[in-house]
Amino acid sequence: MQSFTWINAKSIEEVKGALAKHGKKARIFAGGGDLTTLMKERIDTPEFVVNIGDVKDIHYIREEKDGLHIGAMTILADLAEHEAVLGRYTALAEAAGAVASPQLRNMGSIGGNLCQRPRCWYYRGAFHCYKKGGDFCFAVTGDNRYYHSILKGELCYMVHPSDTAVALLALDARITIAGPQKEKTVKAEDFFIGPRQDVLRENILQPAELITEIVVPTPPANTRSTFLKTRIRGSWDFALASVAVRCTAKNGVCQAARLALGGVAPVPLRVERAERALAGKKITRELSQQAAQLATAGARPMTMNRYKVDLTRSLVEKALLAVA
Amino acid sequence: MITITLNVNGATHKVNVRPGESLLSALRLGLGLTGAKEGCGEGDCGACTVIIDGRTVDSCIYPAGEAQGKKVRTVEGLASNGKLSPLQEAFVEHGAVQCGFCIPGMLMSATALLERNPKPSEAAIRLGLSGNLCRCTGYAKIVEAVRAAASPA
Amino acid sequence: MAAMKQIIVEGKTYTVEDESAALQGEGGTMLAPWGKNETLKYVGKRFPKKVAREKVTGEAKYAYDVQLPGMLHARVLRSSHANAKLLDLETSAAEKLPGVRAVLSHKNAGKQPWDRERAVFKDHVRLIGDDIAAVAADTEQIADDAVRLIKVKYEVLPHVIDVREAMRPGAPKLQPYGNIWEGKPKVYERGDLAKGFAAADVVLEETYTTSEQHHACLEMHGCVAHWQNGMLTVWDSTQGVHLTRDLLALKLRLPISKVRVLNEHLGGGFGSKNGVKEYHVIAAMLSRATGSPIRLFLDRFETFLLSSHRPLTIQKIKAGFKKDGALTAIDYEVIGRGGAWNDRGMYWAAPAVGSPTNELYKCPNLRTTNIPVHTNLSSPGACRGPGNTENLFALEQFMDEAAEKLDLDPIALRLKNFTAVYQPKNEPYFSNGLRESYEAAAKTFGWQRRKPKSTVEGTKRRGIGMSAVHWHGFEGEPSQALVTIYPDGTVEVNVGIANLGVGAQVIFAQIAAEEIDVPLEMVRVAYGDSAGTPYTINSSYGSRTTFQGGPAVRMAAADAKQQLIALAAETLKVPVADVQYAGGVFAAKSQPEKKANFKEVTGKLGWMQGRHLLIGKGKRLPNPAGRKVDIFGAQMVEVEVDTASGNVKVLRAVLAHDSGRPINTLTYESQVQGGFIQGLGMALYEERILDAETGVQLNANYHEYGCPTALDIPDQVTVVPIETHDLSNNINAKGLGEPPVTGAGGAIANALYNATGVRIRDYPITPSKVLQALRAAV
Repeated sequence: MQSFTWINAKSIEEVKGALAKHGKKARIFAGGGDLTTLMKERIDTPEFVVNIGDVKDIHYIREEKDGLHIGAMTILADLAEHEAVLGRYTALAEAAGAVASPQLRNMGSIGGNLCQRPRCWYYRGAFHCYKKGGDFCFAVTGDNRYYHSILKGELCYMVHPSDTAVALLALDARITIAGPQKEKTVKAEDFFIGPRQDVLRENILQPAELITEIVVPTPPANTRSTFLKTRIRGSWDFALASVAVRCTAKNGVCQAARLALGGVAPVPLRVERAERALAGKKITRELSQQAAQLATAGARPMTMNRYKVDLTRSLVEKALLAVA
Repeated sequence: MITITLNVNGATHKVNVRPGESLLSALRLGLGLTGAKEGCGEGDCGACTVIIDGRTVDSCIYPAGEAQGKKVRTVEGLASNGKLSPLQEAFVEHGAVQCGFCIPGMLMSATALLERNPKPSEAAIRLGLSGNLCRCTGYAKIVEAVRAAASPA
Repeated sequence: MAAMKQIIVEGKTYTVEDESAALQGEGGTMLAPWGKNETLKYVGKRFPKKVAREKVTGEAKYAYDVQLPGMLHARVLRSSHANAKLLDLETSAAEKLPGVRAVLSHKNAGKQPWDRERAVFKDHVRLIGDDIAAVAADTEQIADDAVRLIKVKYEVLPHVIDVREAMRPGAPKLQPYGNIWEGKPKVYERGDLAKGFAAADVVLEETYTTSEQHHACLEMHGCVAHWQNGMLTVWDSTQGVHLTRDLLALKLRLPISKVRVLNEHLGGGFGSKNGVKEYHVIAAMLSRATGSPIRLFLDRFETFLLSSHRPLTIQKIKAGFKKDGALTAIDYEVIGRGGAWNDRGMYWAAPAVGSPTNELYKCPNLRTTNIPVHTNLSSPGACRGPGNTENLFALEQFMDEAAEKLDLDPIALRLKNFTAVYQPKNEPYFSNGLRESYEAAAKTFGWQRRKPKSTVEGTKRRGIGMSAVHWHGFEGEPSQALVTIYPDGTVEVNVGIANLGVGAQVIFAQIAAEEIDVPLEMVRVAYGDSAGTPYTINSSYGSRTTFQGGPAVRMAAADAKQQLIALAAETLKVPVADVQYAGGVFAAKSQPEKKANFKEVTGKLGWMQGRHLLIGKGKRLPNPAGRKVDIFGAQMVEVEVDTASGNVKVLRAVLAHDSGRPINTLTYESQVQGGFIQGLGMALYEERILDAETGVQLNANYHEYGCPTALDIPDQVTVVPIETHDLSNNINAKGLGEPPVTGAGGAIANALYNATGVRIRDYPITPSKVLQALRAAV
């Protein structure tokens, strides 16, 4: 690991101050599972690391009138076990519980989970790819069997690694960002950006900004949600594909649905075409199959990951039948 | 180097660490507590698992400074006055130990599990141990040992 | 000349050496093997390992934990190209970094050879990871920083990674003789192949591939070396203190008396920690250069890159059968991916693969062709059950395919081709528990309930499958052991072994307790230091520590007991022949009132009593001639395949293993369960994934490599010991460590077929392959 200066911030103001001062030379340490690994492998070599673990007012889960408020440093284990989250925001609890290992869920924060860097092994290895300022995606001609996209890939064909992001998209969450300017709130789906927008990052955060809070709106009555993830082993592994769905249904008829996919595109991907196909209809096996087809329409698998199309469809179908 | 104060297994220690140095490194090099092991240095194996304020963490990627003001427990603190904890006893008796390199971490995960959930189901035991790789035993006897330590005597 | 006798096996007469005469030890001690129904007090029982106590408290010290005063830390600069010449190497910036104590490279240490074709530090690197330079510094961080300051200018040369590409004309030639090891395939033949195929009613041909499995030991590879006063001491993460000592001495041109290797606890080996690797020599060289102890451990990335692995194999099996299932001919070919250098890895790449095909089934007409191929990669090595595992993963799926084609039950086909004779040398086996393994496994598992097709529930399909297990036993080696008796009655077994943690210590203690007849608590085992132990085993590989060392321990214990009886005779003032020992008491047969308990007699020992301690010596003798030791078993599994996700979950497994006499049934179970799970990992998850163009390993970390976790194991793993009465040695043991890995692949792949109707002949059976196969089958 290259040596660096450790800044232990105690308040959001201190974090903002440190970030404003050091700009691109600084990184936020929000649990640190991913950042430490990147630094050990010298893929990222920040000069300053700003720890936000001791910032007091960003560790909380509160259910308020407008919904669930989650402090950015809330650990994933707390989300996975929280009664209200399990009950009314099920997809989020399931996604948080499906991350990595028990220890990493005890260390990893929701904010950190959303800001993870890609798991593409060319990015993580000794390859000067687009993500590192190069001009090539080695996965296109190389080995793209696991953590590479079938949808929306361009320039860089990585997939976004976050499980919780997929759930947050389906649950219509908002993300609050603090920085040099006034605090702002964006929809979860607008937080993430694809390689065409900026190949060097995966979200809209500017160097001096950080996530402070995530708000998940109270779901309408008769709403259920779920998150499903396929991985190779039962623990640690990232999603080969995942799906989160939130569905409001009466007598088996879907009134509104939100559907998001993970592990298949450079961003956690909301699939509105599939959502529209569900509205006002009774969720049957046939309808969920149709929605699954729509969810993966336009898929352009790479040389080794065609199976992900089938896999994603199966997951969508299974998730819809589970919440109907 | 900076000096930090760590509470480990009930005793307070002053340790010199580099900025951002891992808790594992502080325990092993600073305090000579070599029970916790390094298997990967990246949170991918759990050999370095310790308990901080009741929760397990991978100490190889946990900054030592973050542990200040918290209660750190390592495998060295499980036995008291030379008497093994029921879990340690069960690991020995049930043949749950082969090479043993994973065992300090495995025991910390099992300890935290039983403290939170004294009567875990079979599935809960496996989930509770799912952040600790073992390459020798195939887990069967480890799961058996945890089950035995969990059930009422 | 030992006594010979004639035995009849499968209707033929064989002349073999009589086992009772052959097992006569030194000094006339007769140690015939334990009898089939002999009542034993300690052997064959469950005993936890004593050393486990140190491990659960965290006190156990591994080589990784060794910290010495003044110790320096070393890191190695490694090649980032698969084939390149070094045009320039600039180390001055590294040398100037504060805290750096030594920098070695071909420039200042080029004369230290590694083997007949290369130096330790290369100026022509042939694979990614080859050693270029090494730094010793005050901290690991400084050493790591210094390594990154070394500048290398490469002339990049063409390389080849793919094994088939390496065999094509025009591929970069890696050795003077070409890319096939030593110029041509290794062929073994018996009978008349053409005649055999002509006699067949059914001929089947299929091709299978197995993946490069890593040992993935939890303790990384490395050592602490201290060169002091002309003596080199090494605390090593090794499977054998004697072999590491001998080879390190050889590499450094030292007499073995000048090298001492210690290993108190080992954090996993599985075949990857036998002998020496470059890092041992580098640590020693840096210690000589600096005068300080040097700690050199590979990190996890380097461990994946360089600690060796099971080879990738492509196996083509063609076999002819009679309608009743009898084999008439087998034509087998294995291509194995080897490394760039001409080393022992080339043997593991293919020549080691294929013995089950040659031996397991009776087949008079057979040809095996082994093709080890050089590529610009690190060398494969022995990985738990080497060769047999790769071969059985293929062969046992093939037998299942043949059984279906012949409309026979898979077990019936195997039994039809059973043999009690080791065919390559036409020698009968000492014992063969294969039939009993099939029967016991089938009974425990409920095999007769097997349905030709799966049960279906939603997207879940269930099926069952089986595989035979096979591992080769060994000749008897010159193993030695000592047993020391202390005045307080403590019995110390002194053996030259490392500590793999699978239970050799408790097993040796049980054997000594049994032979002397003392409580197990009174026996302790000294081990782990090449300087203070006899040569019990060079290194613990091949599942032979108990098999080789156990008989020597029993001999040493018997010798100690003879001496104790002589001492008791002196104490009781009766002739030696008049002394009997039972239940902890020595007594005169002629005058039963004359007696002394065990500790009264041992109390006469020691300097204070004017006596030496009592030392029993034992040696293992060769196996009786004319017969072969092999190890067998049968594994059965039930799997559940999720056709939506492609995940394969093994629900339960029954593992029946014939390893001769089980010595400790607790460690026995644990070893079989653990071995099977390693096999399960290779069957479903594990493989080294390389970038095809550069040869860079893409998954050189635990996360993406994918060893099984606690959530990936079957709900039930039942171990059924099959006890055969083996007469190859005085403790009836054959070996156990490796066979459990060998059956997992065939059993799981066959169960997958039973569940889904699709065959996956390319391991590991990942969700992507299952989904692709299911789609193709629609």
